Amino acid sequence: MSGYLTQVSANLLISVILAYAAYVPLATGQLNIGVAGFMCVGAYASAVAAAVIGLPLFLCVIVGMLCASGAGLLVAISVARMHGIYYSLATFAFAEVVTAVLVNLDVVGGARGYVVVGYFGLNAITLAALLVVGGVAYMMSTRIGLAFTAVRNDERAAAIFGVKVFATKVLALVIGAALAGLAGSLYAHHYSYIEAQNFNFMLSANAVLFALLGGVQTWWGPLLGASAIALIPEFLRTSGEWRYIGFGAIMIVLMVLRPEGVLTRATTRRLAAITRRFAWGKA
Amino acid sequence: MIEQQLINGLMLGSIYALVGVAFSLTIGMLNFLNFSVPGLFMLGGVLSYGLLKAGFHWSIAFVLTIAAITVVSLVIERFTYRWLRLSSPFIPLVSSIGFLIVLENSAIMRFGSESMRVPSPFKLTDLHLAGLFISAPQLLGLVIALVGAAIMSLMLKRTKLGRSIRGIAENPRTAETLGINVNRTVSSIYVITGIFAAVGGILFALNYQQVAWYMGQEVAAKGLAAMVLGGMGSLWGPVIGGFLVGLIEVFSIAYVSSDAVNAVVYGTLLALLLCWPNGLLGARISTVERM
Repeated sequence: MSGYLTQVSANLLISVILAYAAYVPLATGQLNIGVAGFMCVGAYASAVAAAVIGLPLFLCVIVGMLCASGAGLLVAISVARMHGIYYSLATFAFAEVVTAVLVNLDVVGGARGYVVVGYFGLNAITLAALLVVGGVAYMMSTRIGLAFTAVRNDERAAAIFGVKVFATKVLALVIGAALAGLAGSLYAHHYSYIEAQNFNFMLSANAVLFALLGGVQTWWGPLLGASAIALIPEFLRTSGEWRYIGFGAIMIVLMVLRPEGVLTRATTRRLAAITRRFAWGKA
Repeated sequence: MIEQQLINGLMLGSIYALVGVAFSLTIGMLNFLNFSVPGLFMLGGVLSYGLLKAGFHWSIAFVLTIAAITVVSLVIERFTYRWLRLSSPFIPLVSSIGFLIVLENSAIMRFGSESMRVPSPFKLTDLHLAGLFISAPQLLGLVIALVGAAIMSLMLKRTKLGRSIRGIAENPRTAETLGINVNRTVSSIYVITGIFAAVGGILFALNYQQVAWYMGQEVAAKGLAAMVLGGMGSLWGPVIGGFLVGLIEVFSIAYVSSDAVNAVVYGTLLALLLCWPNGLLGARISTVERM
């Protein structure tokens, strides 16, 4: 596979994992705009585990995910009772604190960045992305997924029907944080170099965009959103600097035309009906 | 020189105050975290640079910049409010991030991705008071931030537009029933937000004599911190919060290290959100809670 194609694929697959990191909290109606902070925790924890402790690569990823979900648990317990803008701003502030602290930590290279030992090829990343998509799809089909949707649609009604709203929200943010940690760990060991400044707000914003643009009503919306956003600038590459402007414009227009995301439940039902009619027509 | 640091902090804080007010207006009145504010701030700085460079007199350059920002704000209003009124609260936020991407990349296309040096447009004598150094643009910034907030506060209390804005903040549907022209009022909120952000950008360009496409991001994050510190949705809260953030920043550069600034500022912000979410002057919590 050519180098360019490998880079695009790795970028796409890590974007897909990030999309699900933003999607899981969104499925309960929590807008986490600090995904990059959790990703940063995962990346640095995994890199340190590889370099300092010398753990095998597989365990490094686990360490990265555990550290990120630990951070997620701390944040979730303190902010899950907040609503709307307060919640989002708290996750934003958390991410800024993480990068600001890591930039000042000379143990991990500070502002100069940190060279990562251990390398993940495209195969490992593909496997991880498949596991994430499959895992989230399965989870959304269980009672947990049902509880997530109930909390998103109406917290009070969900509580009346016996859903533990607080625990559900905490769980969603922790799972999201663990996925962000996984993405961070894969990123660190694929690119072999991390810099805290790169885990900035635009990265968090992108993760949220992946999920919201694809649609949060179905589990495959984020997959579509991440693929579209990661690939559209590549397809628009011929148009040079216009591509990001075009990308932003597409996003704005899409939000007006399809405010619930490209894929909604109604759309999937309609698609299913069309496919069925088509199948019968052939028979 | 603790007095000099105090002055520098207040001057820097006035820019954060203007951006904080811009954020606070759309949150307080419309429950909407407007991420296009850093883009409008940047546009204010970069456009005035471009017009000055093109040879316009500074007064014309600034007026044209404000006019352009007004038009852009009205476009943003269409795409983040008017045509999205029935959607979930996340959606306007996504659109405003879309506008941020468009604005920043337009600036890159027109002016390149390097930071540019702004020529000083007018010769104002800097003040030397009892051994302290106060530059004229800094003083101008301080005055504009305070006067802008004062005018806004009077406008909200006394004028018809102010009453309409407060009515919409209370409840848009009731406001409409009572005969308030919601569309026009919301448009004016957007325009006022844009002007606050743009004036901040122009002052930044004058003070630091440097503009770049990314200049909005750092300042906007500090402006958000200022708004939360002072109380989300209020008017004087972000002003006071802006000065506090400016002081925290200047003093942590002077006495800790320049790298510690962000850790201190955002650490304070996170701690405040967790312990004291209403901020210092946050009496308007009810309007925010509705979201």
